[in-house]
Amino acid sequence: MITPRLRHGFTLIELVVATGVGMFVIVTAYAAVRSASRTIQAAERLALENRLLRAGFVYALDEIDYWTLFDDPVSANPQPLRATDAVTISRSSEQKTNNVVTALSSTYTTSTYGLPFTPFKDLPPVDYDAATTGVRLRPGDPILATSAEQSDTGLGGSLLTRDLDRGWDMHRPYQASDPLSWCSARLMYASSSIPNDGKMKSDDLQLFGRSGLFSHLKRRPTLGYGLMTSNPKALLDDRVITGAFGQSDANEARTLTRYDNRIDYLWNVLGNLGAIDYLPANTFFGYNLSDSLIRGGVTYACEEARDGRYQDRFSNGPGRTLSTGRQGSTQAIVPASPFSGADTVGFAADGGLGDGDDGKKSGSELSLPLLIRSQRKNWVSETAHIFHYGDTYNRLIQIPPLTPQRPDNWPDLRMAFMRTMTRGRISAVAFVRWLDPVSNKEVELEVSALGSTLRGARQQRHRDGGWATFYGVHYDAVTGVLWDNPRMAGDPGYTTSENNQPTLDYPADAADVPARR
Amino acid sequence: MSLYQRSRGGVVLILAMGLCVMLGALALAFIARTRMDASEMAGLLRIAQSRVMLSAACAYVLEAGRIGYDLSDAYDSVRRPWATTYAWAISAGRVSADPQNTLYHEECFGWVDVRDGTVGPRTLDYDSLRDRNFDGTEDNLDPTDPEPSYYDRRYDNTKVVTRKIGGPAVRPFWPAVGGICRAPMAVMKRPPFALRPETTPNAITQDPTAWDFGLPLLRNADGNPSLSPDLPATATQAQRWADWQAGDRLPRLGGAQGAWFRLYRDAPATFIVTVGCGGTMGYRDWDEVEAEGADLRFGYDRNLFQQLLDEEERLWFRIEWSPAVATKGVLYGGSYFSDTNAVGPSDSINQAGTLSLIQRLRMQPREW
Repeated sequence: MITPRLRHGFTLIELVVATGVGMFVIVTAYAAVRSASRTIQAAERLALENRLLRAGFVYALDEIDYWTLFDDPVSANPQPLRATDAVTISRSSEQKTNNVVTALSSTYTTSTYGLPFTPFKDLPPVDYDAATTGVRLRPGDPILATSAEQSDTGLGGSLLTRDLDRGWDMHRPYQASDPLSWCSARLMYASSSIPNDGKMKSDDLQLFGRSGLFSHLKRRPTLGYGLMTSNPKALLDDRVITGAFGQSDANEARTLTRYDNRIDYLWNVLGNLGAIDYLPANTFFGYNLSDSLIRGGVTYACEEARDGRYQDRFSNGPGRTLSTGRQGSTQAIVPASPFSGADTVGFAADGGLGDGDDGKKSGSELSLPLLIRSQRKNWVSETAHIFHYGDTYNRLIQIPPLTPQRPDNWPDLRMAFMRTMTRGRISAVAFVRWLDPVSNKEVELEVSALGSTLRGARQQRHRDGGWATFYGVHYDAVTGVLWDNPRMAGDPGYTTSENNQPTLDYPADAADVPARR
Repeated sequence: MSLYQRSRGGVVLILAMGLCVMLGALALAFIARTRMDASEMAGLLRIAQSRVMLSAACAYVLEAGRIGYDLSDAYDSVRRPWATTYAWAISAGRVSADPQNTLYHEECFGWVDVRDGTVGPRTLDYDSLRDRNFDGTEDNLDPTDPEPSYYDRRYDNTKVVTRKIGGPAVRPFWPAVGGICRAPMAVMKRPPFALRPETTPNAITQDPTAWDFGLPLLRNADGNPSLSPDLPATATQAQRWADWQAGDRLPRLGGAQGAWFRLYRDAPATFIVTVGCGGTMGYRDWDEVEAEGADLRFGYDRNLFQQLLDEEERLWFRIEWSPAVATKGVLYGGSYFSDTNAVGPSDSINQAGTLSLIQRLRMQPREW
């Protein structure tokens, strides 16, 4: 008898059963593990995709706030949108030689222009030679230099205090109580066409006043005719009735050039969208009215600035010309970036600004002069000669690689980013998208949020490179002085090390803002 | 049971346990991944909610400079001991008795008064700073105004608010320059004058046999008022209106975390905006919680507050208000204007001004 103790093997049946059960267990286990593994893999994949999308979302929000695609302050490379260059830009031939600002009177003016991140210190307000032109454009200086001119009431006499302001004062940007900042009337509602019968069309009624009373560039502007006894029709004419200064009398001429010169300065330094960003909402950008329209021997029109610089750029379009922005047009910050078509595609841009982009590819990269002109163009509008929206967006959109060194099987995360202003709305729009090379699936998320404006972005940047630190300000209610420090001098804990660092808006000389220190 | 039998049973047990452990580990990893994903998404939601608070803060700044402030707050006699002057305001006919307990606001003229450039918001009769000349003497700007001025005291620059219990007074009441306001936000169950979130109140009939098949008939108002579900069907028009007007202001429970914004008026027209999403309700630190007497809200638990603070998302911005109104709506970013060229000035004016600057601050400013 063989006892179990003496057995040294398995029976065939045992082996068959054991093998079968074992295989079943192994297959089951394998299937379970494989299924679980696939689930985990899928979950990991989903988690990765979600994580990438989240990263793209956060990247987009950061870009909305910090503008680093347009100007990276800590990049070792030069910041391309801070450059300046002398460029010839056509100006309206309607500008007359009797403009106070004679430097603006030529049709084509070569001036030094800046870009949206040009520090103001690099392009300070122009200081014309007063002896030659009678014009000084430095803040605080009188516009008419000679004493003879200053005493000449026909030229404005003792100048209005407000007319002394020039350029941009970072600590005094359009004071809220300044009527020039909050006048909301549409002052000029006239076209350059006046019917022969002398009657104004309804669109031409100047019910809301005259822009020339508000701002102009002339030495002896004719600001209105009031009640003309020589003109029996005068009392029936809307335009005559609204001539606020009465007869055309030299004694009633005023120099009101501050407003226009502020616009001009910001436009020169920053371009279209930059100027719009800095100027208050009620700014009138365009002036375009014939100054001497004579019908039937009667002069009807007042003399306006006749400055066509902004017409077809960012005024309200031809025909009805004074408004606070051009309807239907798109202004944009044109990037100078390897991630945009502006650099890699290149477009022809003409010497003037009125025609916008002609949509033709030039085959060359956007040079500095073209980049400067590009900041001053309309991009999509009914009158701009844009042939292809795609070409425009090619230029304006940047698509930086967000995961350039990703593993091959990772989804490709991309972001397209564009800053524009269309129909008065400034927007920063990002499209975050990943494309999965494994599943060939694509997901896109549009991100648009309220964030830093251009002026805000310029305050983030140090005047001399890098980021600027903002510690705070302190308003002295007694003196009305705004200190560039969370505490006033003399306060406990006051330290100059907490003076806010100078930004792109600071002048070259810190002493120009002594009261704030 | 023999040794061999026991060993075979052990093998099976090991196999089964190994399998279970493996599956368990995989499940745990899956759950952990999902949890981590949810946690990261929660962080993103906090950021998104914080950004919404920036919009809310901007809207508040724009509106508060023009609308002024609710006199009903005057009943808060603890922090505003001059509240009794509200009675004067009623008796003098300056404000209505407010029988429906609705808010009363007096129109103002901006953070910087557009009439004369002084610090606002000030009311129609120029009430603002109690001590206009800062000479320690209370002024009565309008000699014909018998008001000892409830409203004036709102803008008193006297520093009365402490940052910590027993500490020195460091800032005035809001909205004086240097003042702070907090605005913890919660979603109401049903806001006043809410509309039903119904996108197709007049859906086109899809039944081909119906007489009105395909006809775009406007049977119902669009949009429809959101009324209380408890309102009986027989309610009168007046009752329905009252219900719609009142809404249900109780906070909606559950859902996302509370978000808040906080404003520090650092100059007449500029503000430091702090936005956040989390449980601190905008209190800067525990000292401030105690100084404001709000420690009950956190169970008198400093550690709880600190935990909430650690989990919170906070962002800082600086904004500048402008009185320029040449725009149709509340637009930010310094832009600005009506989108039509065929209308008069009435079409190009909003009521609140615009924001000419928004700057994200890279680091926490000293005062906020």
